[in-house]
Order: sequence, then C-alpha cells, then structure tokens
Amino acid sequence: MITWHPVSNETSPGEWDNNLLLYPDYNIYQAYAWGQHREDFGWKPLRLTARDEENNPVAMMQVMLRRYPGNVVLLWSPGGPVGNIEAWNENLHQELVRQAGSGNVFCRIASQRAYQTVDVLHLKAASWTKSSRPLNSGWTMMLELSDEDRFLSGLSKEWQLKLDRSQKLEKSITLWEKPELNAMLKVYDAMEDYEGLEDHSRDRLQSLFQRCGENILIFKCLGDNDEVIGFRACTFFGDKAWDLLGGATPEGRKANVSYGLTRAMLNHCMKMGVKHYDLSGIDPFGLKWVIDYKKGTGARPLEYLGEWEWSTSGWLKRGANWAIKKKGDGL
Amino acid sequence: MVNWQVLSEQISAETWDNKLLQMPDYNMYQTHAWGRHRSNFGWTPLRLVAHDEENNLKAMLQVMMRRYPGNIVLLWGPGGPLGNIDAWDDSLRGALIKAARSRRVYCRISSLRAYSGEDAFTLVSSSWTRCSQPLNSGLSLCFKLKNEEQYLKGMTKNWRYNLNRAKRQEQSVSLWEDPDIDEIRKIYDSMEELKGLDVQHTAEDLHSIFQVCRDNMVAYHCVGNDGNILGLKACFVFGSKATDLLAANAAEGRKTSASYWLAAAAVTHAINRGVTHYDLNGVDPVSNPGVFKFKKETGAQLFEYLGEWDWSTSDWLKKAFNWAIANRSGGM
Repeated sequence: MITWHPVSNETSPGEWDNNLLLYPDYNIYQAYAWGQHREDFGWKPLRLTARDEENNPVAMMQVMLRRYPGNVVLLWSPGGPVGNIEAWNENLHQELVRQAGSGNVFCRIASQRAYQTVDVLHLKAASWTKSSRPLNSGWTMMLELSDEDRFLSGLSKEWQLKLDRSQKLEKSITLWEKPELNAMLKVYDAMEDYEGLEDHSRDRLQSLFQRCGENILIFKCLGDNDEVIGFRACTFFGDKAWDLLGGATPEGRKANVSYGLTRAMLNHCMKMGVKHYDLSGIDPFGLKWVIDYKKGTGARPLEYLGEWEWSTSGWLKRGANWAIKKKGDGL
Repeated sequence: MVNWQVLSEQISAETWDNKLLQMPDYNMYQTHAWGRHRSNFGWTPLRLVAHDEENNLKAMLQVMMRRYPGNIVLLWGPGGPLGNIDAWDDSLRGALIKAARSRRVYCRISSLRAYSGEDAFTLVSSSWTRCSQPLNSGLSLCFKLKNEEQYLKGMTKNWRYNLNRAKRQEQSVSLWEDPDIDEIRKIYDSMEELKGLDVQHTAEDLHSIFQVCRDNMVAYHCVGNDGNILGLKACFVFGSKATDLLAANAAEGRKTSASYWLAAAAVTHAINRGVTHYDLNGVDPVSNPGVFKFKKETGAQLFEYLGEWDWSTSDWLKKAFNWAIANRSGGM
C-alpha cells in the first residue's frame, strides 16, 4: 500500500531537490526553484512524496494549484510525478483532493519520462486519460553528451557548415555571468517579425533568473558595437539540461551566431558533467528549420510519456480542456 | 520517393510470401495465408508493394478492407506495413484511397516491429496518430532462440518445477497432426466457462485457421490417460519466426499443469524447425498479471511493439471508428 503525504514545512529546497535527484525521471520542472518561479505567477506549489509499506520513498510530485470561483481547483504538474508509476494511482488522486480542499478538482500531469507502453497501461488502469488538448507536442529532441569530439562528429553537414561560418565570432562569445534583462529583451524586440517564437515578458525573465538563476547557464555574443547580438540559455539540474532561451538579432542571425552559442553552451555543459541535453520540445508539424536545427545537433527524437489528466468529474474535465485550449499559455 | 501499387490476387498468390521474407519485420499477420483466412470473415485483403525509383522493393502492406453503407471503408493492417518506414507516408495513403475507391477511408495499422522513438516520430510527422482505442496492449514477450538448452536454462525455477510436475502426471503431450475442431471447441468451452471469458475462437474461426493456414500451423495437445484432451497449444510458423496463436486448457488440464508442458513442446518444436524468434503474442502486465507472470517466467523478454496507429480521410470518421472499435472489436 502506497501512501502520499505533503512534505513538511521544514523541508528545505535543497532537501527536496536532493530527494528528487534519486529518481531517474527527475527534471527541472519538478525542482523546488521552478515551483517558486511559478508561484510568482499566481500558482501555489504543492509538494508531495509517496512511501511504500516499509516507509521507503517511491515517488514525488510537485504540482501547481490554482483556485477558481466555485472552489474549482486546477492542478498542473509539469514534469511530474516522478518515480514508481505504480504509485501514481487512486491514492494520489485522493491526496490531491484532500490538499486541494475541494470536491471539484482537475489535474493534468506532463511526464517527461520516455514513452513506454507499460507506463501507459499503468496510467490507464489508474483512471488517467490521455489529454485531448495537450499543451505540448509530447516530443523532444534529446542529445546525449559525452565529449566535444563526439558532439562535433555527430553534427549534420549543414550544422557543421554554419558552425564553421560562426567561427569568426568565437572570441565574442562568452559566459554571461550577470545577464541583463534589458539587453535580452532588446534582442527579442529585434526578432519580433520572426515567426514561431515564444513571447518572453520582462516579468517572466525576471522571475526565471531570480528564482532559478543558480540552475541557469547563459552565453552571449557581442557584436561590433558591443551590443548583444545573440544569447542562448539552458537550465541544468543533476546531469540533465534543458534548452531555455535563445535569441539573435538580424546581425547575429546573418553571422549564424546561434550555432557558435550552442556549441559554447554544450561544451560548458559537458564540463559540468551534463550527459542528457533536452532541446525542450519539438513539434513534428512545426517549422522545418527548427526541426532541422535541433536534429542537426545529432539529437534524436524522444517521445515523452506526456500529458495525462484526471478529474473528479467528466464535465470538469471537458470544461478545463476547453479553457486550456482557449488560454493555455499561463500553464 | 516510392511508388505503391496493388498486386493482383494471382501475382500475390505466387510471389507475396517470398517478398515478405525480405522484410526484417515480417510476421504471420502479413502472410498470404492470413489474408485468405480473414477473407472467410467478410474482409477483402489488399496487398500492396512499394518500390523506389530504381525498382527496389522498399515496403509492403497486406491490409484488410471492409466496406460499409455510404461507401465508408475500413482498412485494417494487422502486423503491417513492413519495411522502410519512410514509405508509410502520403504515397501509401494515396494508394489506399485509390484501391478502396472511396473518399471516406479509415485505416488502422498495427506494426509488430520494436518501438523506437525515431520510428514513432516518423509516423507522427507523416500524419499517423496513435490510436486512442487500441485493440491490443502493445506489449508482448518474445524469445530469441538458439537451441533447446538455452531455452530450458532461461526458465525460472518455478516454471521448470511446474513443467516437470506436468510431465509426472498421468497425461501425455504430442503433436496434433489433424486437429479436431469440435475437440478444440470443447477445451475452449471448458476454459471459457471456468474463467468467465467471452468466446475466444468460434468453430468457424478455428476451421478457417486450420484449413487455410495448415502449412504454417503447429498444434500440440495434451491427452489424459482416459483419452480426454486436457489442453492444446498452437503456433503459426513462418520463416524463422513463430507466433503463439491458440492456447486453452480444460478444467482437468489446469489441475495437471498441462499448459507448461504444451508451451514447452511448442517452443521446442519451433526450435527444431529453425525458428529463432518466438512471439508469445501479447501480454498485459497491468490488467492480466496472471498470464503475464506465466509467460514471463518462461524466460521470454518483454517486447514493445511500435503498435497501433490510425489515419483517416476525416476526423469524424476517425472518432466514429475508434468509438465503434472500443465497443465492438471482436471481428478485427
């Protein structure tokens, strides 16, 4: 019998993160700091652990809570739960309802573990259903890192060519120790007309660096007039890292700055002991240049177990899916 | 760029199975015989081959077609397509629409090759979607066979104990050269009643399997000292692969652990025929843990299929077929 409990108030961020690292499917979205980051945007993070009959920890979950009129509660767990999937069962649902203090609960999870049929069978048996309106494609490109030689030999010809072209910028590419939001936003402004890019608000960036700064690695490239013409950031946790931010001005794009920045960042990651680099999502029907760029690094497609949901009622599930479709960015 | 074309019945009867063996992921459901077997139950088998610009064979698909009112066409490709996955694209779907002579087509495939992220990504990128209502678990247990010694070594102690126990009972297991369908049904009747199962195989289904696929079928039966048949096991052998197809034990056979001896006899027979890959034909460790344990303890390894994917000329048709399949799937 597996039981779920909220972590005590005395649990420190370090303790939570150290425990998280014991599970093979740990990820940054389940890290304590990420919960704090989302807290800045109206979410209340709940942190739960599951133990078996011998009191051994078997699973963990950080889930974001938001309460709506009528005491309807939305629970959203990016990257979670982690650990033994047999623990993601009715006992978890009951604990979530208890923690939410509501009989009207909708919960969506987005597991980052690799797709496995046996996991799907477990989720279905525990009343989870595949999200009909997923927020993400459920796919990413995963780059396995070992050393620079192997990375370079795994590059596509196109990628190699553009990396060579960016070599003249090599000396201008440096670790950005104290990232300046204004400079980053200026780069994004210069990219406004560029299709298919995420919107990055000042508030989001500020919170990211304030809360998760210790887990963020960022490189910048300066142009001729000492202005930032490109940057690239990833977030790292344990021996994994995830693409986070990236941008280049027209001048930077012309000089293929993103290739040089990516190489510098990956080199740094390898030195830090990162072994698995997640290129943070890929849309199979998305922009071809994005797919080619990510594939060209030597990364391989990886299907996440993905988004699953459970609710205290069918109508709530339908309503939440409708709402998420209309306004899903906030998750 | 590949070109898919439908083979005529005559050409496919002469060449299909030989071509099939050139595909590493060949399997029993894509054999000519299996297509003929399913044609006894209202399905029309279509057999398509894909060639590249140099006329090299790249991929194959045997798909079962059924037409419904309003010229709605259901296509079902168990075990297929085979070969180069890049060829399972719009060119295949175009050929299927043409062969179906309909604009309202729903097609479901069920690939038995091992799951890989890259293959799944290729399918998603070429507009296949994972079935929302799959017919099977998508998992199986498989043996990579070298010889009998290796097979026997792989069993758990518990499984070997039960095998030896079965051999000590007053019963014998032997090849069933000319299986009697009525006797097989009796065993199934007994098992279905005991376990509260739906009918697993009708007499017509069994007649058709043993008649149409007789060259591929290997059946063993367990007979008690009183001459009663206590259980049976049958597999389908094609090339160097075998797949479990039938397995049933009467109430008496359960008491004597007949299933252990029957399972071992079928695998040993397959080894002696040169089979190197034996598929125990599906497991569900979550909803059917008992059968999973029985199969797992033979020493077979868990195998994840690429699985079931579908595509349709319209979304509503896809939804409707998934609903219909979820509610009434026995015929597929």
